[in-house]
Amino acid sequence: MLALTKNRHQWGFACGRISALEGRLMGQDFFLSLAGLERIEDLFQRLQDTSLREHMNPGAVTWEDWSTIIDAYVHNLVLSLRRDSPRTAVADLFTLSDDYLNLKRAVQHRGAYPFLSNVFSEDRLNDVAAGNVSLLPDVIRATMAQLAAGAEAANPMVVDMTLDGAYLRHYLALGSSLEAPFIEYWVRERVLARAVVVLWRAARSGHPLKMYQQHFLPLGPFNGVLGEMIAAGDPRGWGALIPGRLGDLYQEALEAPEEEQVVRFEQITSDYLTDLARRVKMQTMGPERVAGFLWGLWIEAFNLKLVISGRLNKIDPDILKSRVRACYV
Amino acid sequence: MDHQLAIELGRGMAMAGAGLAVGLGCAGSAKGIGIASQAVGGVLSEKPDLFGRLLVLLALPGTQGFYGFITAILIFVNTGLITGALNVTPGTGLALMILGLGVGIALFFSANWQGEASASSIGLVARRPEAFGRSIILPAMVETYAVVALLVGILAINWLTSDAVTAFLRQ
Repeated sequence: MLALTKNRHQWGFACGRISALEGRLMGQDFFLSLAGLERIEDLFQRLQDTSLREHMNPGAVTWEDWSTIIDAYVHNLVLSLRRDSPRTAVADLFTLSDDYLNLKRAVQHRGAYPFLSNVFSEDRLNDVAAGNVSLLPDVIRATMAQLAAGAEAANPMVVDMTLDGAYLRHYLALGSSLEAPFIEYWVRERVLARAVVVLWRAARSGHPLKMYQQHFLPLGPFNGVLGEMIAAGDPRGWGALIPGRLGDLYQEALEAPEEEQVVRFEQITSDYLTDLARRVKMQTMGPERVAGFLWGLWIEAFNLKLVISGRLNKIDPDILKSRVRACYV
Repeated sequence: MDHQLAIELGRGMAMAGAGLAVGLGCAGSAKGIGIASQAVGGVLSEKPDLFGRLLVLLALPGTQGFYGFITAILIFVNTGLITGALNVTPGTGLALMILGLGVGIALFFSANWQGEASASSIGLVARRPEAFGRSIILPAMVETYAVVALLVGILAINWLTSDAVTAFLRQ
């Protein structure tokens, strides 16, 4: 197993905070009990005893209210830890997805940027909307310039493919910038899992995978395996192509009913990544500890949204319980 | 060797030993406390009520600096620097310098590791304040070896500068 970094004492403050904050993360049992509550009012009452309370406002009853509360809670905590960390890349890993949603709106000239931003400021997004990509990070600049210059920005599917690929390349670059082998490994596993999901969903939707070769790739160390998957076409044969533990998880997901396979794969890869992340809990100081906690926070937000939206939409509690992801604590 | 020169050499090396012991001890303590204080700062930003407990854990790596100070003072006193009756031969001075270096190294590394151990214990107290009693034991184990170094230093300084040894060396 990859060793954790040592003697990174400058991470002490952030890790000290995390030692205190970890106790406030919600465990899996909590989510299972939330999912089993009969009355939605009881669920909201239980949530008042959690860290969400600071962000709650009276009368929050709709999904939009709760989604905003959860996003604000996670985003504020991630940014706060970002300020306390000697390197910002760890926190950026967990805000990047919202930044790319804003970037997509900029590319499509859709005006306002409603998603919580971090890496791309509003000025930068306005620059992109105006066709100026020169101040974007090196790792995505060429792709974005190509997208901004061509007529492809009008095709939502191409924009999605291109930005998904750019996001994952950016994610890989952030992971390798920290000089922490464990984080780099974890990021690579997450990126490969995410790329597999993108291609799997595309294949199931009947999209031409060759377009992904052109717009989604390149993706660093995964060009080979993803290229082979695209060439193979049929997802049922991908299990033998995906390397390592993710290949096993893919085979496991294939055993689920067809319409649930992708969701099942997302869930078991998330649990696998959480299991990996738990190994850093005992680290006293270092970027891995911060990354592990932030992943735990990210999973907590996912589970909260799952349970709240599920209960608001009267989804069967047993189905909700089966979808709750493994927690960091 | 000229008697005055011999006294000068002996005194100089003894003072160097004292300087090494206190310098390395204090440097180690400063670093150890620095490591622990980073963690304390982070915990206090979330749980300020833990200040009293964390202060104890934060202070633990500071003892090595005092052990170095005690070693240095003992060298000053026993070699006659303070009383003015200098009684250090070159051999004794050399032995005291090496002794001071050894004690200093032990203090330096134990303070560093104690800082790390304290930071771990600080994390433990942040998660489970009720485990404070047990959390002190972990860095205190590291302290054992700083105390051993100090004890050996005290015994060796007393022996090297005792009247019997000094008289024997001057025969």
